[in-house]
Amino acid sequence: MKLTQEQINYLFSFCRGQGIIHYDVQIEMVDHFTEWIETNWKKQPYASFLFMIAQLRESFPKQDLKEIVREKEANLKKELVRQYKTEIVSFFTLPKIALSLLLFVFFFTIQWKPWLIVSLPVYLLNAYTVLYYLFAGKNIVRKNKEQKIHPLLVYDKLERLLNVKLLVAPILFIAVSGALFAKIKIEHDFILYPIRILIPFILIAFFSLVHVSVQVNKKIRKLYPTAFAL
Amino acid sequence: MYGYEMTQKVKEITKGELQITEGALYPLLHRLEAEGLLEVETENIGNRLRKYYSLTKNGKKQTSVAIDEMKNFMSTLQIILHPKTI
Repeated sequence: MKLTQEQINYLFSFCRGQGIIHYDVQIEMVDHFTEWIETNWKKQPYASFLFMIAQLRESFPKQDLKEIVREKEANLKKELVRQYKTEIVSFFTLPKIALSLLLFVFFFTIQWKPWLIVSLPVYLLNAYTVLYYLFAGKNIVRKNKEQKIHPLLVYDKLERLLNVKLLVAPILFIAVSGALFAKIKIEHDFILYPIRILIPFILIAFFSLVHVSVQVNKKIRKLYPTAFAL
Repeated sequence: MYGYEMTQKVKEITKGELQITEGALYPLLHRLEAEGLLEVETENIGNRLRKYYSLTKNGKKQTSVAIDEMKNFMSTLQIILHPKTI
């Protein structure tokens, strides 16, 4: 016996009641529950749908479902970190290494001023983010954010990873203000050289975040089209 | 293949000797996906979405390595259990 749309919707509420609040996890469990009910209903065709739900509840205890969600969360985090590392490494292989070299050469040749150290990397990062989101990402990040109608676990994990990006400006600001307050001359080589190497690395790390964000947003859209309003 | 199909297939092939619980299957699938050994696609099957898992190129490579390791392990066990008398 095939379940109706109404019964499937009930299974989504059942999931929420069992603590599965994210749509990407619900989809998989609802499909599993539907198959389970349809198979078992054939063996007892006179049973009601609510009776089957009661059996389902016995076969899939809340604790087991919570464990699936917990494991999924941990694995999503692991997957995002793996993607992020792969993306960083790609900046040191062809063809992206050209961009990395350009960054290192640029930061080694420009004349340094304290205000430049604070503002330039932030401007570069913002410009890159906007251009990449708009052109390479076809604005998918903004579209997903605006059109998302169901909570997604993968999206939440990605947002958490992206929050790191917000730290770059205050860290640079505090570092340079601190140096100025302590009257350390920024032109000193022992300060300047690490900065010249560090800033391109920081930028590459954040460019990689932008790339991962676009890739994951594209994947989310493809995998869970019903999680978004058209 | 999708999750429920896997549990049923294993049950069918092993004639009920081996049963995978959902609590073991899904975390494992998600872990293999996180490690890049499985890839996922979804398909609309009328009134709901279904997630299908398949092996990636790296996943296929790792599978054959794991099978070889298992074969070696089994043959070593055989040697231990049935040592040749000299």
